[in-house]
Amino acid sequence: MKIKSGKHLKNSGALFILPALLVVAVVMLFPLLYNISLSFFEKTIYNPDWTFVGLEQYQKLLTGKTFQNALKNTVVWTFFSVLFQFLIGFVCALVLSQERVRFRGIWRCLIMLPWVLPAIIGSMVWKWMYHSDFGILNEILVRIGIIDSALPWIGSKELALISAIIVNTWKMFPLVLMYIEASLQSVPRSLQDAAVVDGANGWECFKVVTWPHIAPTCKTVVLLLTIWTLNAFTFIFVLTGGGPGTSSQVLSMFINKEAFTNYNFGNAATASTILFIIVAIFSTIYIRSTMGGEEK
Amino acid sequence: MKVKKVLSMMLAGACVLGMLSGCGSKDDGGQTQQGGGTIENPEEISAELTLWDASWNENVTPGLIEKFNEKYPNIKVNVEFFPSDGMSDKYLTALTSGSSADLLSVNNEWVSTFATAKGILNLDEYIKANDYDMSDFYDGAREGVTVNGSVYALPYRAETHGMFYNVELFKDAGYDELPDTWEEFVPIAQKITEKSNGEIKGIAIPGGEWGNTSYQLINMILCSGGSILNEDYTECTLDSEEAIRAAQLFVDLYRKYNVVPESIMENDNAAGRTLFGEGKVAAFMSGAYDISAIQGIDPDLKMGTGLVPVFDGAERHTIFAGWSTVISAKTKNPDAAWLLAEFLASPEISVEYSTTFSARKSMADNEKYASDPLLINLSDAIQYGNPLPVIPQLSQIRQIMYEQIQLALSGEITAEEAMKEATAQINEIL
Repeated sequence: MKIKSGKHLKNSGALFILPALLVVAVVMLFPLLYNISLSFFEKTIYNPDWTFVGLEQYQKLLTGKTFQNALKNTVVWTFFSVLFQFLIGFVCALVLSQERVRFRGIWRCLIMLPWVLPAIIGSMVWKWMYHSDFGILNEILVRIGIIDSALPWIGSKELALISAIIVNTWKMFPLVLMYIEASLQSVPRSLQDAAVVDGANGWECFKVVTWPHIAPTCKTVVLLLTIWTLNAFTFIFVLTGGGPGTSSQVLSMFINKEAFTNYNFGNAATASTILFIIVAIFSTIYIRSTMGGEEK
Repeated sequence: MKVKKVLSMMLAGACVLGMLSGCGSKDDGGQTQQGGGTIENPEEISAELTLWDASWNENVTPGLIEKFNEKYPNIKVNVEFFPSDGMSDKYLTALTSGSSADLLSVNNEWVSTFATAKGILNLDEYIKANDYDMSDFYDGAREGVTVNGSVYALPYRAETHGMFYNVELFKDAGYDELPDTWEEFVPIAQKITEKSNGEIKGIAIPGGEWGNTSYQLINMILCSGGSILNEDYTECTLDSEEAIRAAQLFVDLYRKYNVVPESIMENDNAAGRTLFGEGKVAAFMSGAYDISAIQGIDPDLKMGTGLVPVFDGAERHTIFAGWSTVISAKTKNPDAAWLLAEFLASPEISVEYSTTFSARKSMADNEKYASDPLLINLSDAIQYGNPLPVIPQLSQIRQIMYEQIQLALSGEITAEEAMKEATAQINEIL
């Protein structure tokens, strides 16, 4: 069959993606817009009416102590989680990419285990490991003399968030390793050899040859980790539940409590929208940086 | 360009849809299919029902459904079992969206929330039309399922907390039985802890899970003559002398007397049970449902049960807890669901159905309970039970209490400050 005109063919493209667009609209766009519109209304499960309150809920949340505390914890949680995930993943990748290292395949498999394990199971196991009475972690630390008596890892205000960050780091650093190792393999051997011939030492070789090749990947990984960590819920929910008090309450936990303990959907929607805006900023940077690379 | 147009149209469409569904939910709650209460020829009713039940009933329910079918052969019942984790959220979401089972077995504490959210059927008409006698239920059970004067559930299971103690550890410390008051209990707990150089602690109390922690704190407040709210639920009374006295002891057991495991801030009731079963604590508070679990940890453990101690001079009160069945407001077969609810709440069947005690007063002396020395004391305690406040804000109130008592347990504020702050926060949401 002969295609009548170029215009026709062009139009058919929109039709092809329409089914996918519809799915995206129903499962993503609609909930998002529903949530944003809900954030301007006072709505609890007990009151079927939506009462329009404009920006009042935003104002109340942003000036409230509990929300500010959750916001502060989210910043600490995200910054340190991403920092350690990246650093450990990065160093492991550099080490594993050395040909001198033996049994690299086995090491890779072992290191990938935390990432393959479902977050909920990993968190439950860590919860038991942290336990002051039954936990293996305290037992080991006491036996090798690092601490005198068992520490309340997830039960103390000072340690709760740190303990959650450790678990998050443990879970996600293998992914960093995978990305960066893949990227390291794209560094041309000839360039490295040329640098060595020119008299570059290990550090100079890394700075001039390796880093420029893997820098874009590192940027992407850090952005992705930031987005995921901002939204991460499982670790804190399982390990500390946001406690003691509200000392490890991050935004996702705050939203969960507002929605499913207090049944205050309006407030939960407002907090979700604020979290959405924060995540959207990082996502925009991420999309721009990846798209920008392609255009060049 | 076209794609952009399509996208913007979809965006606008979703916007409108969002607004519509928001406003549309105004009337949703009222659309219930009431059966009207009067049931003519119940034996001839033909229907297919779904019952959502708790996982621990898995061994019991199928047999009961067979018995039900002997009476009502034309009502087919499909049973689905769920674990307790996340159960109330799942049920609430399903009930409000109309996707739940016809009949649900629920904790009495959730009834006011489900009723206020218009997810479950008001049973007044059925009770009136069938002359259904509610007087055989314990007062605590009846009050616990009555929201704003209307009954919303038929109770089948009743229980309250008692205290479990390790008979041998108590004997080694020179005591034969549980003391009656907290003032007598503290020195016993101290003695047991000291004798073992702190290896074994006097009592396990939870401080790391909101439901369990607030529950035990409330239990102690009741034993001190205090309460969470005043009688008409308009004001919080946690800043009363009695409530503060109880909260103070709750904190002191850990911080001052050092008779509670270091892991308190991580523990829920299950952890307390494990510690008790392993002989690492001499006592803990719980219900009859924990007996088999403890025996599972150590079948040779010699344990005793008794009433939760009271504070000097205070009257004995504990939390009356229990389970009931509720009918979904959106069920297509309310009559058949009522018949099943009525069957499960009937005296003999409730004894079989309940993994602890029956919600029926007439079954208090049933052989199942009287023949077991561990059960007798726990069964005795039921008469002192008062239901938790029957208001939808209950979980929020308990969450506030939990967060404040955690701060006191971690030494950041005093028990008195915790109760006063909780009172201020709770008064704000009432």
